[in-house]
Amino acid sequence: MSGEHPHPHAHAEPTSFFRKYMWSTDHKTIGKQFLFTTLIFLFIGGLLAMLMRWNLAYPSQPVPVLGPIIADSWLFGPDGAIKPEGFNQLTTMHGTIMVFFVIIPILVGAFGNFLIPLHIGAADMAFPRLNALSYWLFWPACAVILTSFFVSGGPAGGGWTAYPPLSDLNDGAPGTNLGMKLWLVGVFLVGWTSILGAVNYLTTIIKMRAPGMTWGRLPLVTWAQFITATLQLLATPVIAAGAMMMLFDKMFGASLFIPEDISLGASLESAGRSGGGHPLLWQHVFWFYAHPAVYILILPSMGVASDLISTFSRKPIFGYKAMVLSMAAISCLGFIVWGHHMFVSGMKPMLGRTFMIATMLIALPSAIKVFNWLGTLWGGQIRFRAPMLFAIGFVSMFIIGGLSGIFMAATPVDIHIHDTYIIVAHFHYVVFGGTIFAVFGGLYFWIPKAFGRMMHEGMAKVHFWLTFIFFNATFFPMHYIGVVGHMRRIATPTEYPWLVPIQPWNVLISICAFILGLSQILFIVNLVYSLRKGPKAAENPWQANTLEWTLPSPVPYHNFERIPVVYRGPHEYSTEEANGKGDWLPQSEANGHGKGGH
Amino acid sequence: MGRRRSSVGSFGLVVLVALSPLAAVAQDSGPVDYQSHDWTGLPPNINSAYGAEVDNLYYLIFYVTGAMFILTEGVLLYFVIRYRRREGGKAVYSHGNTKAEVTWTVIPGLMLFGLALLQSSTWAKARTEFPTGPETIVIQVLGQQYEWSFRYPGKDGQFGTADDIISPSLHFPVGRNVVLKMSSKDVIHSPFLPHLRVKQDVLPGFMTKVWFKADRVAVWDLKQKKAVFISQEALAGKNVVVDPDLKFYNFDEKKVSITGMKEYNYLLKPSAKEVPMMRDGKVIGMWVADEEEFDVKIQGGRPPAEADFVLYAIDLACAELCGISHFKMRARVYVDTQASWDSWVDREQKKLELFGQGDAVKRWKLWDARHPDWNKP
Repeated sequence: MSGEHPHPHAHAEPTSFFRKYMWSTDHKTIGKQFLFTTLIFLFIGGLLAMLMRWNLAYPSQPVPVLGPIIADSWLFGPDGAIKPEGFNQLTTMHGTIMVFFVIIPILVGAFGNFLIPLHIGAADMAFPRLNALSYWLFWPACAVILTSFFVSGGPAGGGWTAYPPLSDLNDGAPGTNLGMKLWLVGVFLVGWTSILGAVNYLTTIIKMRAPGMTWGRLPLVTWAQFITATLQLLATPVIAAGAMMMLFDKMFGASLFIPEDISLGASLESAGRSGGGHPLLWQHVFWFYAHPAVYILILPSMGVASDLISTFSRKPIFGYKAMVLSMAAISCLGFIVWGHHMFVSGMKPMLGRTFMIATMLIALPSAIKVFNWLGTLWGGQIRFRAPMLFAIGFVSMFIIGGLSGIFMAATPVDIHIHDTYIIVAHFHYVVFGGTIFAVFGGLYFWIPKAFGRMMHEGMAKVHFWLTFIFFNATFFPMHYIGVVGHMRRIATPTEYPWLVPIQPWNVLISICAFILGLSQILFIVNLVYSLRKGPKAAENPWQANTLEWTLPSPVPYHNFERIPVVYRGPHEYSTEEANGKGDWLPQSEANGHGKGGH
Repeated sequence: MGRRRSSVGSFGLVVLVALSPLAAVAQDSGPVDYQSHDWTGLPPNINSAYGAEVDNLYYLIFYVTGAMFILTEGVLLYFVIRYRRREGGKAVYSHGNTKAEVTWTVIPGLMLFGLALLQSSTWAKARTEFPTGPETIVIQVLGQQYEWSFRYPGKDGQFGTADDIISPSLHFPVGRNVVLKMSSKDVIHSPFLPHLRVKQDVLPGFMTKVWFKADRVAVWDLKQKKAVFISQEALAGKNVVVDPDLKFYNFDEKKVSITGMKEYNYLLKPSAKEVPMMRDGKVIGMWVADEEEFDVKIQGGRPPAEADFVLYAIDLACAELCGISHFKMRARVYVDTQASWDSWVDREQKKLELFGQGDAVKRWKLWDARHPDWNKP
């Protein structure tokens, strides 16, 4: 390369397979690595959900196909039916995988990595090697978690929240010994992935924005990544420390979470433990991380939805500042609401009241965002392309997930609904109906840019409608059975007479869940087909404004030939300034003329 | 235009928020099907201490969020249809509207803050304002993998003494304040009584408390063949079989004479065949059934002609994942009439005199040794 290359971080494009696809420091490649790894985990996590749904609909009946093959394991009894302890392990690993190994890494690792430098007009991340390290710490984390499926006793079975003493006692239940230790190591490592990524994203966004890319001109995806990174940087060390503390408990006989007067089959002394800890300490540590983590799970998808809705409505986002401020408000308030997971935990009732008020208030910025999305649609020229369908799906599902949260925030009502299926419905409306919808929308939108091929639009639309219909058919009835009193994490609901009348709902939910699961094959088929045979993507197929759409598809190794100069915000659609040459005006267009997309 | 409509809608919700506590749902004293629930899913509620308040708050939130749901999803649907792309159409160029944004920030903000404030008194009542006095019954609860133990103070009114009644099932009389003082021997459990709107984790090494007051008893209606909640008054003049739990006792075969049961001798053994039947607080005879038939009858099989109701055990479930058998960690809960409560206490005390506390007392040793303060009133 010549010494006059415009960017100080520029190096020659690697040519060896290893440097190009394996140990790559290119943010785009790392983003793709995160994407494919998390898609594999999405499949695994989904499979675990299908197994759970089988058992809930048909308790103690042999699982077709899989049951007989791996009968007599930690999961299946000799007849191929799911064992109760296996069910606990399924719920634990489904939650763990979906939160730590799918949603966070796909939003942050895949979308964040790919988009941040492109959106701010940089050649790469501030610390490319640190970026690669973040992905290569993700690998051992994945390996450790996958290994736990094959160790004696099976994987962790104490819930994804891993409440001690159950998870802390090595003989608490199957999966609380080696499986749980591996879980803790896995969470510790994946936590480091987040922390390293967050340092990198913050530095990159603060220091490497192209000339003219002021804070007020950042695309909302990037704003969301910035705010998410602050959450990750501040909250993730807490869970990493918590995981270490519990590992000390389990491996070196510490008793940070084990009270003195506890008597399990084996006495504390024989287990080499002194006691003297507090079981609620873990819950505080865990939720101090995991509640902000809930916003780590949703903020980036809010950003994706915002930019997609603006682009496909052909309108500027309604209330850009309010959108940014509400995300900032969510992240601040997000640190003082963790106690709402603990209203019935034995925490002082007075604290419950405080956390309730904070929790009610955190619904406000979410409400503002919803109104602003509606305001963006108002007066638009809405193009119903696949990414937009998913973005609108995101808004409509997020409304439901947000509103049901108010029930849980209300302490007296939470007494009845805590740990029931309405909680399951609520967070799936936020994390699946919200985040996964935004993820699909984002993938259909940016895959042409990342891989240079268009996805099949028809297949994508069918995928949307099947997902939308069967997502709702699966999760909406869960509100109802939850209010009836159907507890979470019980293998056999028919044990309880008052749950017997609602068992047909469980069957219906499971059937819809199976169809929902199968519908996702459409995405895989579309992805595989389009990456090989899809039509070549133009530079700007969606006629969008942000900087990545000024680059060829796929984006070349160094991103920008010359670091662009930014003249305006990301959402200048249908502006007079475009002078009638199309209804969009790219951020880096100096003369105020729409640039042809084809 | 759209802005005005949403402010009007919000104003209506504010009014609803302000008025709804006044519209308390009347408690129905007639028999209510145990397995039933209303159209929103809420099961029957027999907690007259604060249960209705909890339900009212639930309905309030249900209607407020329901209205918001219809409003926002309706607007969304309308917008995506109304503003779909048209040939030659041009989108409105707008970066927002400060007035609209302030409106839809302030109004929902006030609503949410109002909702939070409305919860406070019920929360305080349920969790901090514990009843005291002689009319209050204190029961100690100990959870362990995977069973529950309930301890009653016995004749001397003191816990941790030799006359404590220890039972695997929970009994309490209708119409009395009941305080549960709870802890765990091993991991975290969470007693859940959906029909009393009670749920509270129990922690090893720490004591947590809940309280409630039942206004109806749970019985198996032998004619309707279903479990119902029914007021004590509605049982007047009816024949009620009061000890369906007998078959669960695990004693040696011994003949026992129990006063108040007309010197009637019967066997206290796992498959007790004869169960006392009461009318208006008096034992009027024994209800005879063998164990297998008994199960059938509880499920709605052939009833003996003379009985109307069998006292029915509702469930105490565990809502916190606690290990292998978490899914069936339940206890039988009897909401007694005053008479069946007296009869149960009486019989438990007789049993104590004859057999002592047995092994059941062992699990309480740690509690008594380390936390004598928990045994104080």
